Amino acid sequence: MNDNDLVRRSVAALRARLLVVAPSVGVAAGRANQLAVGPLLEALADAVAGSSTPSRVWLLATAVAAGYPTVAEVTAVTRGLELAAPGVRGGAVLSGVAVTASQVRSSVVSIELVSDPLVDVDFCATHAHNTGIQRVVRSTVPKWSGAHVLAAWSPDGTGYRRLTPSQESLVTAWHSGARAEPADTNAEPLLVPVDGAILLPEVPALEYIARLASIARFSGNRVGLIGYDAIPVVSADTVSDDESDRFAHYLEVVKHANVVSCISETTADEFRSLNSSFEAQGIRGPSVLALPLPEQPVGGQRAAEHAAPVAVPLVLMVGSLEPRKNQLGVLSASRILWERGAEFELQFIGGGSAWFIAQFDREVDAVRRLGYPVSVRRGVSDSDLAAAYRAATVFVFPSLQEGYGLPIVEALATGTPVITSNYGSMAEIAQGGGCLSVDPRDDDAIADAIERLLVDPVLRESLIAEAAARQGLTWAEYAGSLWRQFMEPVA
Amino acid sequence: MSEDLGTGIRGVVAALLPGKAADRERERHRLRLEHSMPLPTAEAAWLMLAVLGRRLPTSEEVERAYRFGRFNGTRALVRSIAMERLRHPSRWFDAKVSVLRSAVLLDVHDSIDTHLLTGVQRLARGIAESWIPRGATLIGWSPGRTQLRVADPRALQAAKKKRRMARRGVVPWQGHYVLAEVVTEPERSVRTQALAQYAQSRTMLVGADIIPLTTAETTGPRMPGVFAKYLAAAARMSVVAAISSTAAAEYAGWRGMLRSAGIGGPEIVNVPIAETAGIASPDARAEAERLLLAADDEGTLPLVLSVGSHEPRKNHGAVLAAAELLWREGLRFNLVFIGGNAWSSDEFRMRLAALSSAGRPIQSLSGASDAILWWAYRLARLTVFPSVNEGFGLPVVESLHSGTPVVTSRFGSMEDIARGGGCVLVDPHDDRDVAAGIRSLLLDDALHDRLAAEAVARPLRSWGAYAGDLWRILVG
Repeated sequence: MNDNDLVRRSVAALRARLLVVAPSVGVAAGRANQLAVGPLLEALADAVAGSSTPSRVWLLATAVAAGYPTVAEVTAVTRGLELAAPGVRGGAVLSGVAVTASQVRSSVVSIELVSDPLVDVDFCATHAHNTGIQRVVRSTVPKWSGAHVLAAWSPDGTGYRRLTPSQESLVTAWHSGARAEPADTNAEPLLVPVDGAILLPEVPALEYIARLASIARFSGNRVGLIGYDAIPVVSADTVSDDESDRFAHYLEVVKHANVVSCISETTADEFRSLNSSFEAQGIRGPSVLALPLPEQPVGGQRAAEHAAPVAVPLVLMVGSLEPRKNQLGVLSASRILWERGAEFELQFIGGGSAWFIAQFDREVDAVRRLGYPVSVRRGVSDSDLAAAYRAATVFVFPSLQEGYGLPIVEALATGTPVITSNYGSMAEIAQGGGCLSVDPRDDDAIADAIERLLVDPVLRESLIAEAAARQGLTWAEYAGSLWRQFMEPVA
Repeated sequence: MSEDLGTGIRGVVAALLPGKAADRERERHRLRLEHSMPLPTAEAAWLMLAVLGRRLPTSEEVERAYRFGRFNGTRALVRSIAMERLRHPSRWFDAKVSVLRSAVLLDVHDSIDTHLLTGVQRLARGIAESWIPRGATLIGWSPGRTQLRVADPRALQAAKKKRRMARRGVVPWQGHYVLAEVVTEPERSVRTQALAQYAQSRTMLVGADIIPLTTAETTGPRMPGVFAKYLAAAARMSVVAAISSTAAAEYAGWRGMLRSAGIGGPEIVNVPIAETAGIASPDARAEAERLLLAADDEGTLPLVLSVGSHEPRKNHGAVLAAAELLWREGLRFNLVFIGGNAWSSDEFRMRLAALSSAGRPIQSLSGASDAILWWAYRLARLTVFPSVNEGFGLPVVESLHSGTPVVTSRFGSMEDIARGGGCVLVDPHDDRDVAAGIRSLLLDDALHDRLAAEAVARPLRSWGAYAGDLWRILVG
């Protein structure tokens, strides 16, 4: 293809995109079809300038750029249309979206208007990783029966595309050993939501946030998110600056969204608090709802019977290795007990970032050299994880902060009693039974709780009975409620 | 009231075992510490790390040291802290550190370190002038941000200061500490956090806003991430003195989030910042008129003034767009921006240049002196300040106290100020509404006169009154 061909095809693609959006911005299809690309752009720009409705500005800018414009670009186009004279308004639109247009890697992109909800499953469609958020997405989204379109970002990062078949199976049919395949979808049609909705069950990556914020603020589409936690700002001392940075930018999407469904009452409380902080800038923020996550064991089936009692009790902790999870507190509490003569084995399951693993392994080695039985396992499969939950005498999870605390309910669903923190989402879960609550910042309190469960069979049996009697949602129920929260208008 | 307990083991012993320990021999201090002291508390571990390790520790280091001391004893902890310092040649030359008990420390490091005089420095200076006579100590940080250093009490006044800070480090203990600026260095924030947790002191943060968290899209690169570390330090303070009721509400919202991490968080109090009228010196008038005023065939143009740096949050793009709409209507006025460039101000500069070359009476002054600024407020027909988020909005009150009405945003701290009179409120996200606000003050003389009268009637509040309120809250 030579340069002239490319230009011709690009111009034809632009005209095709403009024709698709023409009726939505107020230019009848019959009239639009008779116009060449230049006059067509002018006609659309005139129509948008006349109404100056933000959603129309956003739509026209999207069609021209072949990607979603940022807030700055929509503002620039709005001002350009306001100030440009009739006849040269098309130029104002073109210059307003120049940055996004230059980032679009395929010049022949077409667009597809979508009025069904677009569900952003970008990370799950492009990564095999499967903890926390991915487990929620993969257990929920495939169960939605309402019409919707699964979407992932184009590799150039300018807009949503439909999933490729392999991306779709990574979301809806994930299995241990599944692998992500790279997909070049830049030239596939851009999905353009019109009078529809964007659902964000994941926390979007930083590079997409400026475009999502613009969608939330201007496009007129309903935006719903799952609120997982505000850890990156509340426990900022335990995460990297980058993580806090990303979360603060994510809040630009949150504050212009319509609804946030939070995975615990505690998280809902966080987002309501954020809303009251947004008032300083004249923004009310989204409706904040709570929908606690389901309680199901790893692998889905509840254990028929608990593993037979073992000679040496096993104290288990599952969770990524990071300061916030407080593995160091558990290690210290265990050492307090071992020094008192208690007999039990301590096991940590979970991977983490290199710097903390190195530090943690040093601490574990130091304790092991004293002759105390402690082990760390990483890269554990779901079936081994389920077996570990069943084998454990006590499950400890005194995290400093959680949005929910999935490992707690996974342990409880297996019939294992749990020691967890006495505040926040973990205390919320503990109220449903089967748990001892402690101050996670007090090693002695953790030690005392472990000791009670090791030496007091009556207490242990009563917690096991409480755990068995818990009434949690199933994933299907959770998925149904989540869909209703996202789609039903909020008072 | 402040008491220097000495350096090294001697200082630690004097702090942890109050009484007669201070004058004993070094070796006897050591013996006493190692043999008669119970297992250290986390606070004691912090103190030992800070004094014997000669670096203010992070909370993580304190926890590790506390656990080490618990399992291995005080003697092993003292030795391990000393060994740790000797193992790293970079730490051999760390200055000695002494324990300051019952001091009132005013941490204004950045203001000591700069020659600028913006709102933050005005605030630091205002507190210092009132607090130093009451016995407070001005402090800053060592170059590596690992030690607190006593600063020269005149460090905020002198135009040129050679030695602003002492060489020896200080560690606060059972005293008072106030942080009166935003810390953008994580190294400093994490150590301040541990200080607030473990120094057994009453600590206060002067809270201007949490904009980098709630309006991250308008802040400079990486700012939200480092600001989060600053907030993590704030979370452990005893009290946040917010500079306005809006800032207090923002901080209250943030504090509500801390519950999920089991952190009680600081008490939030609203201590409104000072409002002073600048002095427009007669000497500067001619220069100000030459710089700021413009004329057309009909005479001198009414001056529309915009004060503030050209960062996105100040919304100067909307001011430019609104002004152009009004010029096209045929309104007569000239527009002057006073303020420096900032991140993402390229677009503002380009559009200002475009309007200027199209013949619009518009200009931008940066680095204007205070004298010119105060004249600008006086010479202006109106000030326009449609910011998208402010902790306070200093230019609004500065203009009002100069008798000049203001067009500003219809929410937050700006709306709060406007309740006191003198303002026209607009939606800063709507260029036409901003234009309507400016138009009304340009064309409607009765409205202008009424708002100007309200503006001059606004009560003043001195820095002394502000600093006195802060002192009562922190010290009692």
